[in-house]
Amino acid sequence: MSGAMWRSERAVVRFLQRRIISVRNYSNAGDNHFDIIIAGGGMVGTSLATALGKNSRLSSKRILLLEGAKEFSWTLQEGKYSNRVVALNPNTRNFFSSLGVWNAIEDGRYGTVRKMQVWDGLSNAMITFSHDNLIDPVAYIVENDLILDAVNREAKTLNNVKILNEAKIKGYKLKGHESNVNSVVMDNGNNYTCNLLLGCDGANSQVRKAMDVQNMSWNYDQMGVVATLHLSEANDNIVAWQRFLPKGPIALLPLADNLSSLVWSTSPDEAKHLLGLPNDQFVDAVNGALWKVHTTAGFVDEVTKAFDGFMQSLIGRSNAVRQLPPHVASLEDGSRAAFPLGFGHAINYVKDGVALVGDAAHRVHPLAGQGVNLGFGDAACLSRLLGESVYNGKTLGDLDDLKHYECERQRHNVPTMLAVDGLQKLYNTEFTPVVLLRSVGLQFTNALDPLKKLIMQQSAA
Amino acid sequence: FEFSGGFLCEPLTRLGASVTGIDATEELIKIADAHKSFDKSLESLNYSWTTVEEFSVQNKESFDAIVSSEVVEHVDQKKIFLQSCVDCLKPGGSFFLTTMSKTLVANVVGICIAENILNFLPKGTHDHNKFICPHNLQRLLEECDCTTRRIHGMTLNPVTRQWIWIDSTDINYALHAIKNSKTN
Repeated sequence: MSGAMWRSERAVVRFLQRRIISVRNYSNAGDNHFDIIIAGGGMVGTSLATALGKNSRLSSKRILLLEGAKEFSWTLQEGKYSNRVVALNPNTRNFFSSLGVWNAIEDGRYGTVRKMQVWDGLSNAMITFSHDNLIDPVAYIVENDLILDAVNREAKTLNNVKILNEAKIKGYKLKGHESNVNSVVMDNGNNYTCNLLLGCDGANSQVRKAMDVQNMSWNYDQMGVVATLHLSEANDNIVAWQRFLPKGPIALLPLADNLSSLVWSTSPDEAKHLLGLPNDQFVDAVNGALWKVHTTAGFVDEVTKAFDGFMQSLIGRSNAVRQLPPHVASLEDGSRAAFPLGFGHAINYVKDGVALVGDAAHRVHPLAGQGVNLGFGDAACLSRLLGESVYNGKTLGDLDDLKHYECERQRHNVPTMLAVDGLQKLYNTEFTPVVLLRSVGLQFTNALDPLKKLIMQQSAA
Repeated sequence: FEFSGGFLCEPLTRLGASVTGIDATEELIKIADAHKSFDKSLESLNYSWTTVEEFSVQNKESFDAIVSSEVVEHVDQKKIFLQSCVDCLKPGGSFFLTTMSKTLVANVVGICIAENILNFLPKGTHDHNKFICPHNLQRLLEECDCTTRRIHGMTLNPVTRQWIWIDSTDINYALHAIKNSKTN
């Protein structure tokens, strides 16, 4: 009789019981329960909220965005630029287009980078990146405030996204043996629950701490000094300049025809000194950093010249064609600031029902302009994977899906971060053999167009 | 019809189907019920502790589709089992089965490796003698007045632990049959 018990069923019952968590409390779904809670309403958190809210496969899901600051409000002031800017790569631009916010950014303002020139302050070695036609942009330089304003406005239009400002979070109780939902406890006593908690709360993420996940981090013993600079000549400002100096790289990013944004990574002492200088002396310091010829060991120069000659004979053109960087005329008053630089990477981005996105998961040196692009890449990937998962009838917050996100993003983020960290260490020394090696290496890379295209592809992704 | 604690019933319910899961083992039904309580969207999901033979008596021609996933390789009296399933199906309704094929490969992979070596499954889960080849299953279904639409091989990738479609039906396979309409 086929109704008889199978011999195996006891073993299978035991096997399955191990896999089901016994739950004592099941929290009541009510107004305070959301499918997804996003902690952190910065550029990445708000973009993520917008992406999830607009994902047609997630249209029935309720999303709550919690941000500690007051409601963000910003208006574009003609001629006055914010000193915090980011370099967006073409992939991020596509992401923003898909969210419908790129138009708002275009209607605002941004600088376009069509060429990057990077050179060593201690030798003649130089590398340039651009597309062959010099028309396709390599990156877009956009003010952080403009981006946040654009995504914020878009998020507010979405019915399934609720934004709570001045939301001070006291702590988190993550999904586990006692509860099958995450709890977010607020300072004011309110309690919100969710199936999926997303930590977009930056490098000092509280969500990451609650996850008790190992985080590899170190300080670079460097500060990033930012400022908005007026250039001497208004010209076609389409080049991003970066010069590696002994204490750290100095970069000039184009904002408008005669305006550039400064990001100068240097030692904390030097940063303090620079912040304290009167405006004109600060401008002198910037020009000096860009133009001053450093004395190098004579033979480094000879070797790099000889190598250049060798490359010329191989590829028939000189590698050392360089454009001269601009001269800075003046500084926008009050635009000077500094922030500490460090490296951070969470070993795991996810746990059952929780995931980290953006700086909460990874933090890099700004020298390659990658940091925020990695975060936007995380957001785009997560939104896509969550949509697929719900489309397949799975629960939101399923660890399997989150693990896919972690795997896909770590595969992309880790090599980029290692490369950026590697460059920081490589250029952080004046030790002559290293200077020689990196100079020849740079010249060599500059001559290999296929390799440069590969580098541009990786940083555009 | 489910065997594994609701892993298939739940997604189908979330996607909008009205699902009834049955199993002959009371504890499995209890586990499935407990797991379903975690998710409010699964309220319409019904579980029933019964055998399909008993169930079919009260539920003739009530369902648009029947799923029997990894069940038939445990059943002795396959013809009676299949007929009972088909009895519950509306004419023109779909019958989906997945099971293991009666081949040497399936014996090696499905039992030796899965149970004894890699310990994916508890020992004694499968009895090779009860496996059934696709063409035999197809013949039995024809005797139950069903037309087989599609058979496709699949297997578990032991490294990624993901199920994948493969061309060979030598290990696991899925079969889709349709109950013939009366107006044939």
